[in-house]
Amino acid sequence: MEIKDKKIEEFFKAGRTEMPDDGFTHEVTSKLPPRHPWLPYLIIIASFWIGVSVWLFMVGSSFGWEVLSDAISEPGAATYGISIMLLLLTGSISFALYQTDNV
Amino acid sequence: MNEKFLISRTVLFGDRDAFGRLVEAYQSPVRRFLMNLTGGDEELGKDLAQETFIKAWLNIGSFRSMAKFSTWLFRIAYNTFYDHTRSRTFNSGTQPLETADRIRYKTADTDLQIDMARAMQVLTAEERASMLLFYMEDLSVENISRILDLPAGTVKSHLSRGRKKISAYLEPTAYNAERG
Repeated sequence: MEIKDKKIEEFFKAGRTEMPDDGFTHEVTSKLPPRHPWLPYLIIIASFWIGVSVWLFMVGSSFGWEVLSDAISEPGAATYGISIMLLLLTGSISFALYQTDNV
Repeated sequence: MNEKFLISRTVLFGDRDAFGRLVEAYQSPVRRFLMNLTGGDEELGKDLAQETFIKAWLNIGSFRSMAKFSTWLFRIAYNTFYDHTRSRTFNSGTQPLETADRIRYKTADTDLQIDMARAMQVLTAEERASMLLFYMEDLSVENISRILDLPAGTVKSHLSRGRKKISAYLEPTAYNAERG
């Protein structure tokens, strides 16, 4: 552990000024640019997942669960494919919006 | 209010009031650090502090709670100062080190502050930052190394050189004589 030199420490402590706020906080908060918070995107993604899950459950219930495993070779595979692509697209857009904000 | 709660509110909801509370809590150490880094220019220190908090607001989503919030803020503050110094050096082609006549303190103990500003001028930017964080802000070498993005050994070297320079500076001053 680094040992402090007493004389130097005393000098720096004496120069340790408490800066009064003097409207600084207000000035900063009034200049803050808009920033997209995470929560709405998390809600959108979560809602989409829930929607997809419910839809898959309904499809599975109507035709039997084997439809899920056979889906890839069936003509209906496109529906699943589009769903997954939409999901990825939503995630990517949300991520991109968040990143753009952080530049 | 709990600091983690305020950070969470800022990240999740973009809550300006919560962020305002964080600014209120940290404005003094951040402004003091930047003012001393700039060699006592209070106005410049204030401008850089504003820039620091705006960057913190925009990037708070990347803050990981493994580090202390103050360490993260000091890192942004130092980078802001570094960018400012680099742009000034690039634009003017001269060293940006401040001169004593640029000191613009408004604090009560002006003599002491001017003394501090002059002492800062004998140090390089890295030595100044290391000494201020170690002696004034009471941060550990590990935290300073995270803030300055330097290995701990390099920070120790800066502290050692800084100590020698400040000791030499204090030797003939009234400050030293007063304290025997």
